[in-house]
Amino acid sequence: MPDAARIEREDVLLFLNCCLAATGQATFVHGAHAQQFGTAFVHAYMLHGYRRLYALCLAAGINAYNAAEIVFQLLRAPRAGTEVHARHPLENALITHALREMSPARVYRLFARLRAARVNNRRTRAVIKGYLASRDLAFDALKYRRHVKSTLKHVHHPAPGELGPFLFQSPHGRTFDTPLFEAWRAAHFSERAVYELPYTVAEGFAAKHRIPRERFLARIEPRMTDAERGRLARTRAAHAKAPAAQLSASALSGLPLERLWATILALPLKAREAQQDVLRAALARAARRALGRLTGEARAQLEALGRTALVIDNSYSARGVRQTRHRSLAVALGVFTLLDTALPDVRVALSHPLHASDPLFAHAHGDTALARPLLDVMRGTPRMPESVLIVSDGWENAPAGGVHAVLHAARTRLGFRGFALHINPVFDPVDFAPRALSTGLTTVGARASSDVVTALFFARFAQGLDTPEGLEHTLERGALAWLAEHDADGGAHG
Amino acid sequence: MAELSFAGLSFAPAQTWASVRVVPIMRDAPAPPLRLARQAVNAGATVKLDARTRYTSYVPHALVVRSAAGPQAAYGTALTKDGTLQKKRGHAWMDMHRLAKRLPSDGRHAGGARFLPLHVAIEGFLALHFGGPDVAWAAYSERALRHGFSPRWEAFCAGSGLYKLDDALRWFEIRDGQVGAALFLGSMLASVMITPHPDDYRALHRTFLTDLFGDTLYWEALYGAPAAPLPIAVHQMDHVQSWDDVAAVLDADHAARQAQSAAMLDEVRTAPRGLSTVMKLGAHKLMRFIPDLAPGAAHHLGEMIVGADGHLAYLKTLRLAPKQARRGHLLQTLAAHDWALPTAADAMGVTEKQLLNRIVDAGFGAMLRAHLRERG
Repeated sequence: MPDAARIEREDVLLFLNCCLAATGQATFVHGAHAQQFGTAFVHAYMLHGYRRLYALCLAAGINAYNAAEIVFQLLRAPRAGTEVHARHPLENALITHALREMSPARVYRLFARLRAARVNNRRTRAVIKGYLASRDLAFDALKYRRHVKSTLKHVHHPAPGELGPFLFQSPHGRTFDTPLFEAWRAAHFSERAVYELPYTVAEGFAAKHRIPRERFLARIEPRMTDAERGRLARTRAAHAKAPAAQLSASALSGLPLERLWATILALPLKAREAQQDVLRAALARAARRALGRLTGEARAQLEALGRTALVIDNSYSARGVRQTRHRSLAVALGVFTLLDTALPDVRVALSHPLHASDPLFAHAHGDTALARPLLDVMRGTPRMPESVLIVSDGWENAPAGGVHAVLHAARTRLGFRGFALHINPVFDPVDFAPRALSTGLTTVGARASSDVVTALFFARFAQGLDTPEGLEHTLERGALAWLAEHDADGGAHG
Repeated sequence: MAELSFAGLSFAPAQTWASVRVVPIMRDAPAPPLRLARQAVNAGATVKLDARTRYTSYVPHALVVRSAAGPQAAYGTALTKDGTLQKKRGHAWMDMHRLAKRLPSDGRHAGGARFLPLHVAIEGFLALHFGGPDVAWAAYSERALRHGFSPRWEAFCAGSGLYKLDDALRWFEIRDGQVGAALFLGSMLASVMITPHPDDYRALHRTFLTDLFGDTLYWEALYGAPAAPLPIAVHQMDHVQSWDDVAAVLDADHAARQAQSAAMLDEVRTAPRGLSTVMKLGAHKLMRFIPDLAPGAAHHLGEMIVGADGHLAYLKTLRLAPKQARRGHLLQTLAAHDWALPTAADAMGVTEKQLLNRIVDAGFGAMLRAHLRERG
């Protein structure tokens, strides 16, 4: 009969993996509906069984989809779960700060979801009003007009100043004092005013004024966010009448590592070869930026990996689906870039090396053969690696069980004593966990390359070196530090 | 009796999903100088075989085989017009001439042939003793003696109706250099497809969904045991001393899987009985075969294009349901005994009355006189 501590540890690990890997989008194997169904179950289970841990996970570096889901579940059911006494102050603080960390579009969609679920308790209204008070409502009303309008109506928040007339009345026949609103009103008639608006709002007006695409994208660039700039870099290059599509370094500079890799993977091989200097420089910059954001403790854990061997699964299933094309492979390559920048000795092997063995020219191709790359990367130089990381979606088929067999041989017969971890970017809603390659190998989910640090942290817990109480204390410490650092900043995030 | 030659072909580890197991087939030898192209038809087709015989079926696509040396058309180009497409009561219908038709070379394409995949093989099976009894015994009706078994028909299940076949094909990861696949449903080998060139296979990979399968395969896909992936046995690593030993274990496992796949395909390899050539294409021949229809394990029909050295350039097989094979076997036995019912019944080990019942159960009741058709 397994004891309660072990069950608790497995449950918490299940939930953390779900929070790191699941995004509710369709994956190569399962559709979006199945993913959402699976994650909804895991969330409901944790809410009722481990409410305090559930709320503390908001501070654990999980992805925004799951953070929004946690906030939704906590607000919808204020009394569900164990330990009824006095938990709300911590929960409220965590919720407030989690909302500020998320992108505003996601927060407003969350509010719409609360509205649709008819959640109307005082706590929810207070949270929403607090969020609205921390935002520049003029900008939000311009960019997320429909959402702000219905949110204001939901919580009966007064619309101060010109917000009311802007949202609820026609712009014709009046002028606005707020510069943003006035620019918006003028954009109906004047092309110059279009370039003072945020990019998504200006798009509609550009179509109205029939501005040529290339000119519009060039002039609106200062108003784009980093993600938009990166996403549209290729469109701009395609519209510019240049012989080969050239990505500008500035467009690539703001992207996180896996987005940058996804952009690179979308380029044909010749284009990658032609621009490899630009791409390598952008990768190095992004990696340094990601490393700079790590805390000292996280950095130390990363460096404790030592001599690292990395196996990347670039089989056809790493291509993903149309909405998140190449995401699994981009995460894997991002992990490689991060480790390569942080550590002195990193050896990498791809499951299908197509064009030399330079990961810059990787391609999602072929079947999932991980045993031989693992063998190659572990035996390459005289000394055995100290850590082995495998990034794969877990559907090993050439042959199945290859990783298990090779690791078993390495551990029992060839003297490998190091640390081995399987990072899986894909969540399997049928088993409520990322699919495991081997029973002896810890599997942790990760959807962003910087999650590798969180993955290392949770791997220690999963391997039994930390008890659930220890994890709770660590999460609590992390949560308080997270809240404190935000209070020290003092302001709302843009 | 002949055997198919899988020389120059090797197998890769299988990929499984639900009850579907797909074994990739790779070509070691250089590709034969042929290319296949797919010509969409998506219509019912009445194929004029000769002056008096028609073959009718739903045809999803036709295959055009051309010499690789000549000019190649890009995929998707409309190739030569085959027949007129009409709409009859909302269904598209086409009249075609011949199941396998030679195409002359024009300026844009090399010469070759257009044939209807699988239908070439099925027609060989349906044509078995299609003419009816040769000897006018009293038991046979006038209709059988005059018109034979017309219409002789068989029903199959389309691949799109098989449980999870669509998903399995969508998630299948095509290997580099893969030219074919062997499809297993549950424990049964359903079909083998081999194409000349890896790009041809990529284009034809999903045609398993429009292929024909005997109805037992429908039940096997639904209720057969889930095809579990066969992992490497970890105990094989118990005696390794070095990394080279580990590599040797992986190689040995690969070789063992090869042998196992080759053994699983034995029933197709030894299937051909009535081999007949349909058309000659330069050094290659388009042939078809029917299996030994005696009650036994598996009955695989097939069509293939073989080179002069016997190497397979193209192969496609279809597994008959036992009931269909029994029908063919019944006709063969009757024909072998000069259509005399008492002799044939003795040879099959049943009484004459039981043989008459078998004939009626097989759907050939129309060949008997009316008073013999009643069961009793």
